[in-house]
Amino acid sequence: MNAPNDDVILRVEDLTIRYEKGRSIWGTPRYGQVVHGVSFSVKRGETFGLVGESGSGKSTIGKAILRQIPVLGGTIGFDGETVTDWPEGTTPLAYRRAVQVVFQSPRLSLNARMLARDTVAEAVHFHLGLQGRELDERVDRLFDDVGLARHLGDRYPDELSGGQQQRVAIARALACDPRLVICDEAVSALDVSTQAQVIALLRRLQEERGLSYVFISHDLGVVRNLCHQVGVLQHGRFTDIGLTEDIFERPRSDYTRALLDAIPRFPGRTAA
Amino acid sequence: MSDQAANALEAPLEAALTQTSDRRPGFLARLLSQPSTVFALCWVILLVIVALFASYLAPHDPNASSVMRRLQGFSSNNWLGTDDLGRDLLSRAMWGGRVALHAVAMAVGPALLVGVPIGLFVAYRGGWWDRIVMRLVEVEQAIPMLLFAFTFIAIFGRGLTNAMLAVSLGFAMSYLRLTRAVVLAERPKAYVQAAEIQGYSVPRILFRHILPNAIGPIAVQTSILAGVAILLEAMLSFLGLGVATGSPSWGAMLDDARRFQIQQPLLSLVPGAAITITVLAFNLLGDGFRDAFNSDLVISRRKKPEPVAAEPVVADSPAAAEAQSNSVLRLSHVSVEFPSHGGAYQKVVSDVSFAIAPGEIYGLVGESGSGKSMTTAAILGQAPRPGRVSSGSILLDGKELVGLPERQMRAIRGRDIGTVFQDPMMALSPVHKIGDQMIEGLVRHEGISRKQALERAAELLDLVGVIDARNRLNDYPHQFSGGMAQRAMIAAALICRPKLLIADEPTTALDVTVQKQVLDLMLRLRETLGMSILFITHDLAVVAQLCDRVGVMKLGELVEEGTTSALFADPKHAYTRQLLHAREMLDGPMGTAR
Repeated sequence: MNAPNDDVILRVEDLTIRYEKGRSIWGTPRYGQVVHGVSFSVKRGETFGLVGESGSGKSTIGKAILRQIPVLGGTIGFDGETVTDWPEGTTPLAYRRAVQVVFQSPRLSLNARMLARDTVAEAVHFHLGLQGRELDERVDRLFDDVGLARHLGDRYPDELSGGQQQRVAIARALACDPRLVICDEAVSALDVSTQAQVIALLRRLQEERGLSYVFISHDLGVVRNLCHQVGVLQHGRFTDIGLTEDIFERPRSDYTRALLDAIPRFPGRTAA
Repeated sequence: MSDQAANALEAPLEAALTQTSDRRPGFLARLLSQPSTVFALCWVILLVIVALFASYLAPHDPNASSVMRRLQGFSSNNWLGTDDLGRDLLSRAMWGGRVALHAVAMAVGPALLVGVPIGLFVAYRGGWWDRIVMRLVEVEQAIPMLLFAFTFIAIFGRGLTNAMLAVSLGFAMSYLRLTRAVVLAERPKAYVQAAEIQGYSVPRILFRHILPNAIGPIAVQTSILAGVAILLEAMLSFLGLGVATGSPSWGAMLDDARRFQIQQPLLSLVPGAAITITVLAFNLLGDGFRDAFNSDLVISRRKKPEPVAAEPVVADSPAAAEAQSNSVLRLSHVSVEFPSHGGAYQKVVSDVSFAIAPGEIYGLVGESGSGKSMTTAAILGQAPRPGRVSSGSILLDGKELVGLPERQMRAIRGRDIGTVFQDPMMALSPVHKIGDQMIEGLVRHEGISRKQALERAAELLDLVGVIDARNRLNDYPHQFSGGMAQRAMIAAALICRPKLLIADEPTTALDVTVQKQVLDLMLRLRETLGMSILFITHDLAVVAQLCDRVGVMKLGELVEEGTTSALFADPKHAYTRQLLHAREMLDGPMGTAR
């Protein structure tokens, strides 16, 4: 697998995933294959975009990297380690600290009965063992980092706007100082103006911390904006993969071209 | 765009959010806003105080008998009378309360401590643990509680403790089942997944994250089981299997009352009332907990608001009058308001006016909380209770809709106004055939035969581009893809030849390629049928592609309106510019959104 000092942080090779579709009346499971031999790599400090329509398998790949579902074949290598070699259900805490997630719905990804501040503080306390004033300072700094007013920490998720909720979720993901963050439709549920802010935030955090992202999205515009490299998924296979500008300027497959054509555009005004 | 600029962009919205919604009232405040719960709570608190301090509060020794005073009625010395041994009934009832609460603690306490953790554990672990434990629970629950208590007492001997431990075991099973069910529902939610990905230990996830979210149903269950425990204790003591003979217990008092009923009919009154009121109080408390945990329920129970009479709209000028008569839909100064926590009304749509001409596609754009969907609901006469249209007028083809009775509104929805919503799969019933769902309104509104109706449904499905339309009428929604289902929804909305089609975020749940097809379809429908469409969306780019005119909404107000080309070329309002700017940032090439 890739050496720790390689400039590649995540390498996915020939990844094949199937999920249980249901069981026959005899109890034998029936499988549907959702990802077929997908390979890509994510460089340190860069963003890899996984684009596709519903059912393309993009979120499934994210779940496999986060070890939420079992993998049928292929390997996932992270920073010199082969993630897919670990037995199911055993994930080293070091990997949990290195790879974090931001989900689509900030409202559902936060515990409704926990104050925003406690959600972040719990992660800091758990991973770094900080307490008392040190813990407070660290949480304050995380709030500052994600552009969240400190007094909002005393609110429950329901009392925050969507953008604020997503900032709390990002602060929680950053609590353990991860190297890779999986953003699973992380801005799709937000209003347009809020999306722009959260994307600006993600980019700033990337620059400051050297973070790598796997950015899963159905929105080609957003992907173009944030990602260095893109893989276009259809029915669990890449139809196009490469540098973002190449894909957007010179799409190779018909499917990618159709996707690009379908994006609604403004009349008479060109995006600057 | 810089982060500061981005923050400035959201700032007015955020300010408004903190200003208007403020913080919602806490759990206790919601609990205490219900009169029946306050009564129940007071009774339970009184019972606890009396039980704890019975030795100080009771006027007499509960066991001091006096043959001289036996079976007396109400008197100044014995307020509630005396029993067959001349013991003071009030004092006995007070001490009986202590027995009752003791029984509750004995029955509910151990059950909570055993049932909830096991329920959490088996639900989280699943597999064989779950299967074996649940089968044992089912076996235990198949045995009636009283029978179980009898067996327990037969083996371990008489007494309150044994009786209540038997009850407790039964209660533990119901806690276990309840907790398991709640955990299974919470487990797949994103906040639990986020906790797993943080690497938190299983006990931490169970007790710190899942349990607080399950506390509502558990509290409700506890309150109800407390009432059941009191009934069971009374029942067992009545049968002589509970407390020791002579001890003051409400059930035992009832047993005494039964024997001397003929000589002193008032005897059964005291323990009977004590049992009834206490059990009732615990049940009311349970209802109160449930409502307070789910605050929406409390609101929806309030009285239906008074309908408001439409205000006559005076046309400002001959030109305006002309436009008024020409438009399919015309909203004039429409406001929708909701009662806020203080009792005052708060406007969610304020003073919105716009008109849609025949054959026009009008886009209503706004972000979440802008009031665009509430405006639609107002047009359809479906402003959710306790909200109401507080002023203004809504004219559909010259007919006033505000203040129209629900019966007439129902005839207008579906017949004069067709609607298409965001998620076709949510809007379609999974157990009925597409064809039957499409013609339901037609048969109801126009009373034509099923065969004719199906004929028209097939024509429309064909029109919206569903291939092999006639055969697909017999398919169920799950056999349709998302895009095809949305086409079917549009066809269904068109079936009564409505004057206006309202499409509320009809492409938001769809993939981009499918979105394009649906938008093309809308344009084609306007051309072939001359349909007027009110298109509600958050996506400016979609509006740009589809609509003739646009209204931009923000915090309940229509801030800008104009033809699509004019609005996009030269947005007047700062908010419109912000929206356009944000969208362009997002769609720009790498690094634009800085």
